[in-house]
Order: sequence, then C-alpha cells, then structure tokens
Amino acid sequence: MKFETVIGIEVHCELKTKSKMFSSAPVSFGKKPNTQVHAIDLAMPGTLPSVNQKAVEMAIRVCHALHMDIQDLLSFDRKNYFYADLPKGYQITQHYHPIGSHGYIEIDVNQENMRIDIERLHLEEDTAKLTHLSDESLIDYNRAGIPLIEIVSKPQIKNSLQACAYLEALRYLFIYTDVSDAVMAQGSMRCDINISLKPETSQQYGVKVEIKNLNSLSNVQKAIDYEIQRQTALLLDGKPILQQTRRFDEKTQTTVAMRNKETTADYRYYPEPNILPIKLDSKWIQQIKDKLPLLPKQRKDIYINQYQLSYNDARILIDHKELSDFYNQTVQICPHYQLVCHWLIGDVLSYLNKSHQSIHAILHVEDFAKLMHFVADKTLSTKQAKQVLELMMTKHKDPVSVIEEYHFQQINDDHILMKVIDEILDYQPDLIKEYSQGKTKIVGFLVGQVMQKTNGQANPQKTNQLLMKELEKRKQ
Amino acid sequence: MKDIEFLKQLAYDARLSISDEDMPSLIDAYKDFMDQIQILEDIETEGVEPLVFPFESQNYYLRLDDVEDIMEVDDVLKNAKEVQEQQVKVPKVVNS
Repeated sequence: MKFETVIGIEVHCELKTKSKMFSSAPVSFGKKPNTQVHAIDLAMPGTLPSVNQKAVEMAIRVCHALHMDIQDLLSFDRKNYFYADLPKGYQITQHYHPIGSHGYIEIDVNQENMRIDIERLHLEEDTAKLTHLSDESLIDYNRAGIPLIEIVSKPQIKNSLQACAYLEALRYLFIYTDVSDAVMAQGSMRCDINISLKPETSQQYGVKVEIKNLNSLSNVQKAIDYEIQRQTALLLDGKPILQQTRRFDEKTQTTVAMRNKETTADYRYYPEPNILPIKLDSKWIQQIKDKLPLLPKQRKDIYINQYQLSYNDARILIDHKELSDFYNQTVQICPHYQLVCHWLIGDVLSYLNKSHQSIHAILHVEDFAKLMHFVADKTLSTKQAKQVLELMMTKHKDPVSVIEEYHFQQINDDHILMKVIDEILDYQPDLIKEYSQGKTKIVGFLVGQVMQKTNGQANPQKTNQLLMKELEKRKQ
Repeated sequence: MKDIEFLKQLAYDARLSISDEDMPSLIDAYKDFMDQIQILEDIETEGVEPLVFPFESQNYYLRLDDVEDIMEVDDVLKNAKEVQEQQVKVPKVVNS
C-alpha cells in the first residue's frame, strides 16, 4: 500500500523588540541569569501585563507579508498549564482571535514555485529557560516574556524538501521584515512539525505525531525522513501509531517519544481578564503596511524578470539582505544590472566574508556606483577596477581619489600609447623581424611590455590594435 | 464514577494531588457547584453575544517599547527556596 505524508508546521519566532511582550524588562541575550527581569515576568502579586506596541507592529508586518487578514481588535487568552518555566501558571497567548489569519507564502522547491496556506499568526510570550541537571533544574527568567509570534501552516506540506523550503522562506521573511534575526541554532526561530501518514486513496488524516527540538534545517529534514520511514513500517505491520510528542535525537539521528500528547482541552483556554481588548487604529495599520520593504519573493521576480539576472545570482543576492539592499540602491544610479550584481556577489561578498564586516561599514552606494560606471565605460580595466575596489574597501576611500592617488586611470590616448609602443619597438628590431616571419604570438608579449611600462594603465585592447597597426607598418 | 474520573483528570492537569479519602467530600462540593451552574445553564442565551469584559468603552492603549524597571537580581531570587548559579533551583521535571 502507498502512503501519503501530511505535514503541518508551527513556527515560533522571537521578536527583536527592546522590551518584553507584557513588561518593560529588556529583551537581550547572553546576559547573566535573572538580570533582565521585571516583576510582571515573575507574576508578582498585583502586577498587570501591558501590551508592547512594537511587538504588535512587528506582528502586523509579518501578517501583511503573508497576505493575511488582520484582526483589528487585539485580544489575548490564557493557556493554562503547570510547569516550572511558567511563573504565572499560564501563558498569555491569542487562542480565540489571532492577529492574523488566512494567509499564504510562496516557496521555492527546486526552482518551482509552490504556495503554502497559513492558517494563523498569533502573538504570545516566551517561557523561562530551564537548565536540567541530574536531579534538579535551574530557572533563568531572562527569557520569560520575550515576544513571540507563532505561525501555523495548513497541513499542505508533503515531504522534507518542501518543509525545509517553507522554513527557509519564513526565515527570510522574518529577516526582510526586520522582526527577528531568526537563527534556528540560537532558538530565535523554532519549529514543531506535525506529521501523519494516510493511505493515498483515503480522505481521512492519520494519527498525528508532533516532533520538537529541531534546531536546524538539516535536522528538520532528517527528522521528517526518519519519521516517514518509522510510521510507514508501523502501518505496513498493522501496528497502531500513537498520538505522541517526539523529539529529534542528535546522537542516534532518530526521533524518540517524549510523552503522549495532551488534547487541546487540557490547556483550559479562556480570555485573559487582565488585558482589555485593544482596538487598533486602521490608519496605523495602513502605515505599517505601506512601510514594508520589498520582500524576497518580490525581489527575486524583479531580479530575474526585469534585470535579467540568473536564478543563482538572484538567490545569492537575496540570501544576503544587506547585499540585496545595497544592490537595489546601486542600480538606481547605475543601471548596469548584471555588472553590478557580479561585482557585488564576487569581489565584494568575498571581502565581506573574509573581513566579517557589514557592507555599509566599508562601501558607500554612490562610490560603488561610480566605480561600476568606470568599469562599464572602460575607464578602468577589470584588473584595475579590482585593485581600486580593494583599496576603496580597505582604505575607505572613493574611487576617484584612489585612481588619482595610485595612478590607476586607464590610458586610452593614442598619442601616449604610441609613444610607449615606439619606444619599445625602436629598441627591439629583432622582434619586428620575427613578426615579419609570421610569429604573430609576439604581439601578446609586446602588449605585456606596454602594460608593464605603463604600470598596467594602458587599455589592453587599444594597445593591441595600435601595436598590430604599427607592426604591419614596420614589417620588413 | 464519571465524576471521579473527571475530577482526577482536572487535578492532574492542575498538578494537584488529591487523596482517595478527600474524594467523597470533593465530589459533594463538585455536585453542589454543578447544581448552581445548572441554574445558569437553564437561562435562554440564544443570540446573546458572550460578555467577557463588563465595560462599554474601547481600549486603545499600547505601551511604547521602552526599557525600564528592571529588578535587582537579589530581589528576583528573594523568594526562592534554593539558589544555584544565580538561578532558582527546583526539583527536576522533564516535561516539554
């Protein structure tokens, strides 16, 4: 029997606000334990939560980028459960009326577009961080109350490849909407995978297994592939699949059972009585939508369809938001789309990778555009431009000063070039003889000599033409 | 019997331990409570919107994203029975 895999994904993303979701304690990482805490985060008696405007704004940005309906009456609910990571005994979340609903994202699976529908996006707070020792656990409340958005996809994903493409598309979306650094390995983006198998002909979903503890895309892929294999084997053996929460075990590269899943009713959701529903101003929502920068998918379409960049070049630009922003600004002043792209993803990117610097720290858009003009109109040869660029990046100078200071300008003047050519030929009559005898290879050698004499400034093509002409003239 | 199972499940969800001796009195209290609820259940609510907050006015307030009022770490840990490495130490329960 053939089975079909049905996957739904829940993604949590920590928002990079300055303060927490419901308190004014700072959101910061790598600080000493329990130093970033407000009385509200600890559920001290008498404290009341108050909703962070920036977190709401960020949620709206992501909602809009995901083409969602935005709920303009913001309300929160309590999700009740008892665990040491939750000081209040409940988490404030949005169960009944999520801020965003009915959205979608277009993803790229092996260069083919696919649309994944998204059921909901809601705002909530993160829990405290537990460190488990052999017999006890330690609690650090720095993370308690950090704003989170949770995004729930429809169960439309069919394999690990699509799952990874979906997660990657979301990660870029978080980065481009500037709401999070979205680093899975650091926990600022986390995901839970719901996966079930059903006979291909069946309309009914199979029993759902949830996989947690996935901190990289490669683990997501491995966990899904393993789980498909495990569930297929059970079904073929006629054994039941238990509704469970499992986690990916790095050591064995398998999924292992954590607990049997509690049903949703166990969380005893009810409206949060401490936060009155908040009416969001429609003008404010519109302003947030209008300010949204170009998103990865839009950029890719423009790069490929309008600017005629190759798929791979477009991908490399989009993989680096800073570079993509820089590219967009440069081509506004210097519309040599492919040339600018090749220089950015070539020499500039490799320098950035080596030096671990931000592009804005080493280059100005106007200066880089000027350099690209010099390359396009052949004022500089490629070799010269590379040297100028390096000096621009290391010495933080504009191309004109570098060219003047280091005598880089290409020599295109016939008179100057001819003077150099004459000098060389006058002293080497043997070479003219060799040329006369049909050794045309000599031309390359002579071009090299001109380049050497001019410190690489001579225009090689022009030198080549002039040399050929002169050699023909002097031919014996 | 059904009531006992339900109450045991509720107690488990709330992580409360209830002894078998306490169960009969708890069931009595639960039944009294449910009788009261039944009076509410009998009210005709067809077409009535659920009321969560007894206020007519709209709330528009959102807090600006500024950092203030950070607690001193000694105050954060003041109520902890045990502290280790500047963190609250509790019995280990691996749950999620």
